[in-house]
Parts: sequence; structure tokens; C-alpha cells
Amino acid sequence: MNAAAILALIKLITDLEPAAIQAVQALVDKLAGLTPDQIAALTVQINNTAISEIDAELAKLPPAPPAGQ
Amino acid sequence: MKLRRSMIGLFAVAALVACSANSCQGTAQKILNKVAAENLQFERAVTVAHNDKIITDAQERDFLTKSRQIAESGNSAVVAFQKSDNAGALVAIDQGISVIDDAMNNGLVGVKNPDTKTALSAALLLLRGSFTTAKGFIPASTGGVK
Repeated sequence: MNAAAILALIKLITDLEPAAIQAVQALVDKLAGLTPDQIAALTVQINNTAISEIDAELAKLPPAPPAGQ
Repeated sequence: MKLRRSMIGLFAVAALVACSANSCQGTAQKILNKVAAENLQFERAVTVAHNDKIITDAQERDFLTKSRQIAESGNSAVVAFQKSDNAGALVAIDQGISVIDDAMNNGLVGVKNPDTKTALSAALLLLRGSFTTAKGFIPASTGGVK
């Protein structure tokens, strides 16, 4: 199933707004040429970046009060 | 309308049946990549809102904890896909959706600033939509890990 067919399917089923379709189109274009494993590695890298930033930010906060207080 | 809906349903079923394992997995992986990027933006928006003192320490802790869970769900789904474990990927995505629903139904309630509330709500809705779209490209599998 090529990218054009996928987009047609999405539009037909969900009746997306044009902006959403453009977003999906941009994503498909951006990741064209990468293998699924390469995309997966990129995804894990992005998620791990979020996790690292979150852990750093949480470490700056004062400890949460005990439950019930 | 009935005829259009039945045609849509028939088309969807035919498309999913015709969707080869590799192409569906590739599309789902791309959408999970989109989820990861959206979650990163959400996490950064929360941090900015806290730095600007728009949300409290407790609210930031709550939203960031949920964002972390969303990232972990995304990673679990990606890994499950790579092992052709469709059932495992669906479980991981459903866990991510559950966390998003909790954030929307409970976490947003305490946000007083209307603009921030709207922005965070939009970000969470976008995340939920992307996760749901990814599910659409995963054939339900009763076999688990192949």
C-alpha cells in the first residue's frame, strides 16, 4: 500500500480536516526512505530524550508530600 | 448515508486485508514516531508553563509523570512491533491512551489559566488521536509473539 493510498484511506474513514491530512503527508514525506527499523530507532531516541528531560525536571522539584497530606 | 457508511466499512476492511504486514508496520512505526515528537513537545510545554509559574509543582509533576509513561508506552509499542508482537503493541498503545485520558479528565481540571488549559488539552487530544490512528494500522492478533 503506497503513501497516497494510505492517505486516501485515512481521509475516507475519519473525514479529517485538511490541516491534519497535511500533517500526515508531511510526516510520510519526511520519513520516506527510512526502513521501519531506522524509524523505530529514531522513535526510541525521541522518547528517551523526553524521558531524560522529564527526569531532570522532576529532580529539580521538591519531594512530593506523602499521600493524604 | 447508509450506503456510504457501508462502502466506507467495506473499503476499510478490504484495505486492511490488502495491507501487507510490512507496509502496515511501516506506517504504524511512522505514526508512533509522530506520537513521540508530539509527546516531546507536550513535555516541553509543561516545563515552560511551570517555569512561567502558570502551573504548580504538583501539576508539573503529574503531567511530566504522565508524559514519561506515554514515552514508555511508545517505546514498548515500537519494540513489540519489531518482534511482530501485534497484541503487545496494542496493549502498549492502549496503556498510553489510558494515561492520556487520565491527564485530560483529571490533570487538566486544576489548570486555572484558560490559554494554558486549552493548549495542553489540544496537545493531549493530538497525542490521543495519533495513538488511535496507529492502532488502525495494527491487525489484531490472537497469536501474540510469532
